[in-house]
Amino acid sequence: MLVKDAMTRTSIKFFENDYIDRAAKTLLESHMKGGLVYNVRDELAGCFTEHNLLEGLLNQNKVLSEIYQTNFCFLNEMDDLNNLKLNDQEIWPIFNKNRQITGFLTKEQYMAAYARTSQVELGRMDAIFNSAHNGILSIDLEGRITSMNPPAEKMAMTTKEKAIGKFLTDVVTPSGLLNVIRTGKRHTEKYRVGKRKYLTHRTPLYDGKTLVGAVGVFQDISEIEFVSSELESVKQLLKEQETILDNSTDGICITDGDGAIIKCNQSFRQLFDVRHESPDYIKDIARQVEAKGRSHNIMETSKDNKNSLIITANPIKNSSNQIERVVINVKDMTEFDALRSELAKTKSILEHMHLTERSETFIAKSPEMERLLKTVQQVAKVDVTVLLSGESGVGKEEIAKLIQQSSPRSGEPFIKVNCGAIPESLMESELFGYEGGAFTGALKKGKAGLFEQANNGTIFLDEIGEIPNHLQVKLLRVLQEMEITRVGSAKTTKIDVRVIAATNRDLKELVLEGSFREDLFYRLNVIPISIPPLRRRVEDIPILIDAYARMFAAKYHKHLKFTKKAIQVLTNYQWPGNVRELVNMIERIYVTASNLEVGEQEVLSLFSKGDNQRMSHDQAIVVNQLLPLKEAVDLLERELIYKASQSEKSYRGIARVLEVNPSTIVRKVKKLEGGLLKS
Amino acid sequence: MRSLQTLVSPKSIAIIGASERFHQNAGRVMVNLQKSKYSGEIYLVNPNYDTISGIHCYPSVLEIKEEVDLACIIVPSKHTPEILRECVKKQVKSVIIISSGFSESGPDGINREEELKEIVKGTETAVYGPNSPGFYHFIGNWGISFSPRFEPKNFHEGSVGLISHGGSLGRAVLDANEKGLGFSYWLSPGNEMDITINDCFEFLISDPSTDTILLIIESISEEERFFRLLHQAYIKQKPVILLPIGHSKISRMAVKYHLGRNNDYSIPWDMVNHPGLVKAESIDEVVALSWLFDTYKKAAGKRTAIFSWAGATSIYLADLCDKYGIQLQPLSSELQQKMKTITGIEKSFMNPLDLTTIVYDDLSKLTTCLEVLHKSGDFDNIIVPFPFQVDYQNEVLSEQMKKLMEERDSIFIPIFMSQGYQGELAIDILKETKKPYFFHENTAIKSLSAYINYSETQRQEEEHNEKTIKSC
Repeated sequence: MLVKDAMTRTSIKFFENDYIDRAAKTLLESHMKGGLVYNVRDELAGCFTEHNLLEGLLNQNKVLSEIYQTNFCFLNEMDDLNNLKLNDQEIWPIFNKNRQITGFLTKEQYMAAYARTSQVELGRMDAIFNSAHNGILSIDLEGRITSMNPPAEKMAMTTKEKAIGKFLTDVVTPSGLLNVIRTGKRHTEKYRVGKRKYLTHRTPLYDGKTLVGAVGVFQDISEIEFVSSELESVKQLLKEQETILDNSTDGICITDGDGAIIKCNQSFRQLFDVRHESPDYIKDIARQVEAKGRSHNIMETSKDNKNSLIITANPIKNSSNQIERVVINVKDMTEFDALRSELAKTKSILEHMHLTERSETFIAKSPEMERLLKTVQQVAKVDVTVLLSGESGVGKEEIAKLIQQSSPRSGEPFIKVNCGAIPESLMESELFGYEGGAFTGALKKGKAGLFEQANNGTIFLDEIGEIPNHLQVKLLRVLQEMEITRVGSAKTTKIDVRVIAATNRDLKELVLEGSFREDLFYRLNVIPISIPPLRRRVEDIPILIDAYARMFAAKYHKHLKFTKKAIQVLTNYQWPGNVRELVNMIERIYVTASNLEVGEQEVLSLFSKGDNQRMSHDQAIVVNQLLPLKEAVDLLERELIYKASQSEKSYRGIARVLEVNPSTIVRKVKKLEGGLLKS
Repeated sequence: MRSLQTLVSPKSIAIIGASERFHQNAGRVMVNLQKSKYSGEIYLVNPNYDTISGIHCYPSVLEIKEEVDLACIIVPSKHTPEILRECVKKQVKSVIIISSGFSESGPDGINREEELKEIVKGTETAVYGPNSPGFYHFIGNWGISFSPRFEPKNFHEGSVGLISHGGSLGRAVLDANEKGLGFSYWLSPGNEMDITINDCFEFLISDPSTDTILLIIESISEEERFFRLLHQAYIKQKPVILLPIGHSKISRMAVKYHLGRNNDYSIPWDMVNHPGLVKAESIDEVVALSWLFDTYKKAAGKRTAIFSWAGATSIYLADLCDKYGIQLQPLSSELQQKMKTITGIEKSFMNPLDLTTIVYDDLSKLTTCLEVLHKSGDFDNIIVPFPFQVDYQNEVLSEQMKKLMEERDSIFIPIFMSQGYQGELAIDILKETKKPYFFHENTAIKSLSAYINYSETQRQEEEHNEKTIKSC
């Protein structure tokens, strides 16, 4: 603390012949404890304190010159209070660095400030005392403990509150401090308490010249002892490593940054002549490493046996990133080479095997699909019904499988049901199973339905829009109750199934038409995922071509190359049948291609052939409409017989041109019930 | 799957850990129950007391001779297993564990909760909690709560059931009870060790006093069941209003420390699509929606008008209506003519209606126009903005609306748009009706749209399914 922080700053001036009582009043009013007195020349003549004033008043003095102290010395504002050498003055005038008088400091102020700084100092000392790592303990002349810090408390397993005032040996075992107060001599000692080792310095405490006590500072050196034993074992390790180094078949060498060999092993010495100093060859390698700043590899042939060597040099950098050491490792590669060629063979076999399998991931790179696949991953983790929509061939089943594989149910069954492919009459028993004897043709012991088979797993209901109306109600009930009733049974069975439904139709449209129940739609549509058609994500076409080309190459043992133009044509096509059509097309190319290169023309010709097949009117039979096969056959027979009857007038003649038995014609005509005549 | 029936209608309740220190959580549960209209028996259990404020205190639940339907445990977590065992032995039907220090608080807590699960496994005792803030029974004016502010006698009964994860957001919404939003139950099953959110959801779906269900939730276990229940709520025509919380990476982590649940694979709510589910984005919206459903039940229809005397305000609101899919059907020529006659100005009036500041001169023009619009029967919903603070005009408009509201021909959507202090007298007048009023125009229009849509979808579906059934 500086003088200026403790002093009274004042510009109030008193003069030698000011009245004492007036001065007293001024002091009181301005809360001052003293004042500075000037003479008529405006020079500081003396100073006074309250005490001087009181004395003056008692002695009935009149003016300040009778009571002020003229014997004084100045203090500087910037003096440190702690360094002041003070005389018996009661008040000190203060000047600043320009030697102007700025105020005064009374002894009281000095004491108060000094007390404050001491307090702070004491606090700091206390903090040091308390946070010192070493234990500190002091005793008085009677051997009673006067202070101890927390480490000392810990070592003595007591608390300050309990220990202070107790006799030393009642608290701790070592009694060396008692010797110090007896002899007044300091000493240092190592001792052991239990498993731990301590080092202690014991010092006598003097107040002036009289011995007042002793202080012991002790340190737990168990750690240091431990470290030195650790060092011992590190040395041992180093020795072991050297042995390993020397027994390694690789040549190993450590150099400094300039390539001077520091250490090398037996194998290295066999490969290079290092008897005198580092061979230039090694220095060269070190320089290369130095220049590159990172590891350096060279292939080399050994001079004596022509084995191929691989030399790797690695820099070891110090904290300021300079190369301190270079570690050079020399490996004989002969055996390696043999293994490497073996691996290359295995790899090519493996690759071939991989290609024949379908890839597990969904092939796509377009932003829409990437976003969609991310969503799929997210949705997969949540056990909730998903409705997939998209044109046929976009990969709805692939997405369904992806969901199943990423879901917590991945280890459980995945049952695919194509609702459009199961005859309506069988659908209920297929989905929900049946009891023995439920209907004709039923198995005796009954059969579990697809929902039961999918229990704990996932059921994929493809073409959900094809589910007949009466089953929609049943399906909704199953979804809501999570229990099924087999056909012909009254008993319900609890199931736990995740449903993924898919459709290429607009279900909302079907709802509006009234052919799909709205409530079932809402139940299924909880998380709708719509897969865009291939023509809306043309970025995916080249990678799809690539992936499937590789697959068919493996299947047909043909390695075709698609020209850029060919890929362009495939990419520009509209693909109404989406990925499925693309895959079929690629397979057709592989089946039919005679050249190893697939060009624009080859692709275009396949497209036009496909179109021809679809649209030609030159063919004998053109189908304009889909109808049941039996009906179609009947229709065709009738048409053929009618056509033949135009030129042939007899059953025999008709039979001849149609190349069948006349009896067949007779039977057919009878069956058509004179339809022939009518038309 | 657990039933909540004995939990919400117990004939007797034991408070285990009851205490004389009423300013602390354990003590307050008893005080809060005493304050309520709960009419059954209350037993206090705590071995450290003989009596608490004159009521006999049992050393253990096993010492109670009579049957205990519900036990409320509020003791330090390390004692809960022992106490729960006693409850099982006593065949207590339901137990609420308010104490925390379980799976939300690290490995020890997880083990402790596992221990509790083992204790009740296969028993008849259902556990609600632990780490639960209790529940409110608005219909019976009572509740289990350790809240320092709990006035069950002032509960305003209604048709909205609230389920919330944790207490705070739930309480924030429940405070709307003061404004007139009526509740049936508040449920918050803490760490869901036994009774889950889905159990509570199922309870509210089948509860006859609940018509609207609010969910403020962090995560859902048994998602499949949740969606089945959601569909069931839809069949029962109970809208489910959802405010999902805890989506961002950091808040998912926070969920773990809140109720001890892993939320790594939360439901992607923005993808979820079900007409029975109304997704809200703020508690403001949650309150707005449920207040509309609670007050007006089903929407009468979608015919909506904007009634205003301020041009820009009416245009802005029309934009919002368009944004949220509310159709403003044209004003009939008859109404247009009437507006001209009343206001006395030649102007083509349309929907949104802008009467202009001509109404300043004669406020009866304002009130008459509103009445004519209302009485025309052309509109199911009338949006009435209070464009800014103009004191007298707003008060007159409020008074008129209050009067017309009682006639219940159309639903009024009053929106106070002023960004000043929300203390004008016009608001106080409408507050008395306890019917919905709004401060945020976006919330108001968005909520109105969701409210209308819900009823419309229901109506459409009925029509469609009839058609489908006929076509079968």
